[in-house]
Amino acid sequence: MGSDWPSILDGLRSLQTARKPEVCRPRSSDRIGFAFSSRDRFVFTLRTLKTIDSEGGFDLVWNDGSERREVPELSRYFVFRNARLAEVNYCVRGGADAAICFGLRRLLELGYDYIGLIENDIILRPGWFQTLLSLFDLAAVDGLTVGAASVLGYQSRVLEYRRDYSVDWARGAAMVLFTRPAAQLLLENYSSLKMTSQQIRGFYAERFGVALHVPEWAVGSRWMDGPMSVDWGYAAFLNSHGYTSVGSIPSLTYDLEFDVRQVLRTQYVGGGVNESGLAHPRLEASAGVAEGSQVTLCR
Amino acid sequence: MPSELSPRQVIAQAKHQQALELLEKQQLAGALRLLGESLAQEETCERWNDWSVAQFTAGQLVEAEHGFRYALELDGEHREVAGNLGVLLVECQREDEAIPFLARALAGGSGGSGTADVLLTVCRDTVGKWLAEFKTQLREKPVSLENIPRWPLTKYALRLAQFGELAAALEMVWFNRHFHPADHELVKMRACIEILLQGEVASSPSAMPVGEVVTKGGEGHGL
Repeated sequence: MGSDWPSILDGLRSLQTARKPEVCRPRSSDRIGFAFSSRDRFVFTLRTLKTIDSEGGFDLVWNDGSERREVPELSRYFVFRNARLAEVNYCVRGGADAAICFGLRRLLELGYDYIGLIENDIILRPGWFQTLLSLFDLAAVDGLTVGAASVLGYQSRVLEYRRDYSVDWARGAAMVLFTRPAAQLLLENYSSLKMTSQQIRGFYAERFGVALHVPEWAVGSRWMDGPMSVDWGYAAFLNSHGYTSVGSIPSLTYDLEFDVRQVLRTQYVGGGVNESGLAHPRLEASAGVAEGSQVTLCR
Repeated sequence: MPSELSPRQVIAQAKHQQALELLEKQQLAGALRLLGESLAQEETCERWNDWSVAQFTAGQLVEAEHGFRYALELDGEHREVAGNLGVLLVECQREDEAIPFLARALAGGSGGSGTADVLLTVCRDTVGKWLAEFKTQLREKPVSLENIPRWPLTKYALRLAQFGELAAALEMVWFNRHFHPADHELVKMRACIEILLQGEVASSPSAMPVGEVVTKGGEGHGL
């Protein structure tokens, strides 16, 4: 990929220059914690848990909102072999966003340097944790300040494929690791993060001159525009504060609950797309970055 | 000679055995707890099957389905698990999905497969009726776009199917079912569109042979 190829890197760097985000790169002394959220679905929970625990070097704060007894019981008898279970919280109810906010708040309170979210319906492949940490350094080589990294990647949510990592325009809560400042920023603004699909498209068109071509939003020839769940707005919000969201190439995670090809009409990021550049068409009149501009959010 | 078991495997086996005893006495909560502990130590197809049977008995069909499906991932040849999943899917009124599992349970011989055999016939009849009803719907006048809500997508999908856009209709049904997996209208529509789509493939000049399911009316439809 030559320097004359179309890229959004300049746009990202301009936002960084304007917003001056706090640069964080994982060091061995850093404390890393993940909020693992569960709500019943024993089979998925046990499977996710075993793959999380295939690696160590981080803590888990398990937040459970189950109605039934099997998963809370599992938290009492499951023996971790690599990961460290820091605490378990029961009756974490109120929906997905309530659980996410609870997890972020708790990890911030406990003083972690990196704060992650993992939901109980994914499988992580071997090597996931070191790959996840490496993404911060890979993006730093390109001069990017990462706010969120993940080893779960859908092709439809990538902005640009760089060498061994992707720059993403959407970063969900299923598997993500935030830097502490990014997590803090998200939590403080959580109630105003919600965006519609039109607003998300508008944001990336205006800021990066990219026309998001998203198969996930076109279902059976019908454009499914409208309000999106809050996590769709994480990456745009972080971008607007100078933080980039990145993903691994290839994706080291897959979903247990659904088939991405059927439900999302996309595929996981595979090794074949490495370094293949922009994933969406460029708008003809590419926009620059206005220092004073703000992301428009749903209220 | 059987290989020596690790301490974890021994514990897992013991808990599994205790769980089966509790299951025998219909003490489901205790059985599920022990099976869970056993699975946390060591996962096997049989253990997930027994855990799923306990969930099924307790009326937790979603949990049971997850368990049976994972058991089959661990051992795809296990006919008993395939049969159990087939029975569960019939219980959930998803007869079309039950067919391949019941057929798998029957594959390779006789012996204890009477239920699966009967259920398989029932499922094929049921799907045949769904298809006949759906074909009638396809012949009806399409609802105009302004009378179709944004959500759910059922009406829009039917309209697409009526205009022959079967693949697009199926996309909508899959998407909608992700949010409402138990919606019976979506279950039936998915089954029918898939059959019709496979029929299209089968009738195209370059078609590869596909599996046949004979419905009550004697009509052959690829599944």
